[in-house]
Amino acid sequence: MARVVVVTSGKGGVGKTTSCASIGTALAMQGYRTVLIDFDVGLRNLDLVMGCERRVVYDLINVTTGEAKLSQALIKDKRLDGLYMLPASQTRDKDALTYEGVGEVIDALKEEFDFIICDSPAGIERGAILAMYYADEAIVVSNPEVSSVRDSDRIIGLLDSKTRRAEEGETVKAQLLITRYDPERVEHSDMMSMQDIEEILAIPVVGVIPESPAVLRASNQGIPVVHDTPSDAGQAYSDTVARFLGEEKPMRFVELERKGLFSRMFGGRR
Amino acid sequence: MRSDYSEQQSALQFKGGNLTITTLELLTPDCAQIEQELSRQTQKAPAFFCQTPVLLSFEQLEEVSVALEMVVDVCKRNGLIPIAVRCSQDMIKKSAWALGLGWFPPLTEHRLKEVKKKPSCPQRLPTRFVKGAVRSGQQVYASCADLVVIGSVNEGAEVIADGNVQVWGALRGRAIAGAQGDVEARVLCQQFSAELVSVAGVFQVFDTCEFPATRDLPVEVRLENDSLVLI
Repeated sequence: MARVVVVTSGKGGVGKTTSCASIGTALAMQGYRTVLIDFDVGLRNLDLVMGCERRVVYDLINVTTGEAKLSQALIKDKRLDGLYMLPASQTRDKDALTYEGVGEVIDALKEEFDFIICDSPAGIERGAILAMYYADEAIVVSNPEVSSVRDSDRIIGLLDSKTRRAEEGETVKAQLLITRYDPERVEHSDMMSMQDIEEILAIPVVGVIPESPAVLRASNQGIPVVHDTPSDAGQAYSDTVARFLGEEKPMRFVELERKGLFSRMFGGRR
Repeated sequence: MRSDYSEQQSALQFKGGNLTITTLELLTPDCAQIEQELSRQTQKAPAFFCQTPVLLSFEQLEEVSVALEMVVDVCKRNGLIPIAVRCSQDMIKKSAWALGLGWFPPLTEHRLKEVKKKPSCPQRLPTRFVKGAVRSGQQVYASCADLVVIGSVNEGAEVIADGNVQVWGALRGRAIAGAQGDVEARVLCQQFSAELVSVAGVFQVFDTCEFPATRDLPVEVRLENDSLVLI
C-alpha cells in the first residue's frame, strides 16, 4: 500500500525541499519505488536540488489539466532506479491546482509507487493545503528557532483539520524533523534545544539534521546531500529515513562531541 | 466631459461629493411636542428654517411606532424639507419610500447592541474536554461550560470558556475564562507562560520577561476586587 507523505513546515527556507530530496533519495536507495511531487507552483525548486532542472518538459499542472500524460511528466532520477519526480510549473500560480486534479494524480501514482513524497510550499495557503490534503503521514520540518517552531505548530494544527484524513475522522501521523541544528549554539542557549521543540510541538522527532556546509554544497550541485555519505548531514538523513521506516536509531549530532557522545545520547531519551 | 466617440450627447452625469446636511434626531414620537419645539426654534433663527433640507433620524426611537407622514408635515410647516430618513425600523423605511424620501442605514452598530442584550448562560452545560495540544492558530470555545485541555495551549492558540479554563499542561497562548461575564470563573494551568489571560473581561498581557518564577509552577488566575490575581 503506497504511503503519501507530505514534507511541510509553514515557514519558508527551513529545508523542506532539501529534506524532501534527501528523504526521497534515501528511500529509493533502500529499494522503495519513490516519487517526489513539487507543489511549489511558481517557485519550482525541487528539480534544482535533484539536479534534473534541464529535463523538465511537462509539469504537475499539465497533468492535472490533461495537457500531458503522467508518464510524460515524470522525470526519472539519473542516479537511482525507482526514483522519480514530478516537477511544479514555474509559469503558473497556485490557484491552477485543484483538489480533484491532484487527487487523480496521487491515485494514479499510488498504483506505481511505494512512497509519494509531497514537497509543500511555504505558507498556509492553497498550495500548502493541497500538498497536505491527501497525505497519510507528515514530516514537519522545523529550525531550532521560535518563529519556525510557531509556524510548525500552526501547520500541525492544519494537518489535524484540513486534510482528507481529518475530514474522515482519522489522523495524519506527524513526525518532526529538526534541521540546521547546532549543538554548540544550543549549549550557549543561542538556539532552542531538541527537547524544547519536542515539548512544544508534542510530536515524535524522526530526525535531527546538523547545520552543515555539506547541505548547501549538495543543493548547489543538484545532488541530494544523502549521497554525500561521509558528511554529517548525509548520515543524519540516512538515520532519519531508517527511523521513518520504523528502525530504532539513536540520535546523532545532537550533542557536542567532547561530551561523551553515547552516554548523552541515550541519557535523555528512553 | 463628453465622450468624443458617442454620437449622442449624454443626458446626465453622476458626481460624487460630500455635502453637509442637518440631521434632525427625533427623541419623541409625539408630533405635537415636536411641532412646539420646532416653532420655538424657528422664531429664534428664522433664516435657518427656510427650505432647509434635513435628514430625519429615528435611531433613538427604536422601540416606539412613529407616524412618519405627520412628522414630515410638521417639518414642512416649519420650513424644513425632509429628504431622507435614517432608521433601522422597516415600517419607517417603507413609509419613507411611499413618501418619496431616501433611506440611510442606522449609524450605531446593531450587532454590538444585540450581543449586549443576549442573556449570559442561563445554565451550565457539561464540561468540554480537549485532548492533545491546542496549536497556534486554533481556537477552542466552550459555550456555557468549563473547558479542560489535556495537553498544552501553544503560543498563538486561544482557549475560551464561559466557565473555567483548565490546562493540564503548559499555557503558552491565550486563555479567557468567564467570557460572558462570570466573575467567579478561573484559569488554572500546570505551567504558566501565557500571552494573555482574562477573567470576565478583565485581562492581562504578559511579556516573556515577567514570569520566570511561575514558568514551571501550577498557577491559578482569578478575579479579586476587579483585578486579576495569580496564585
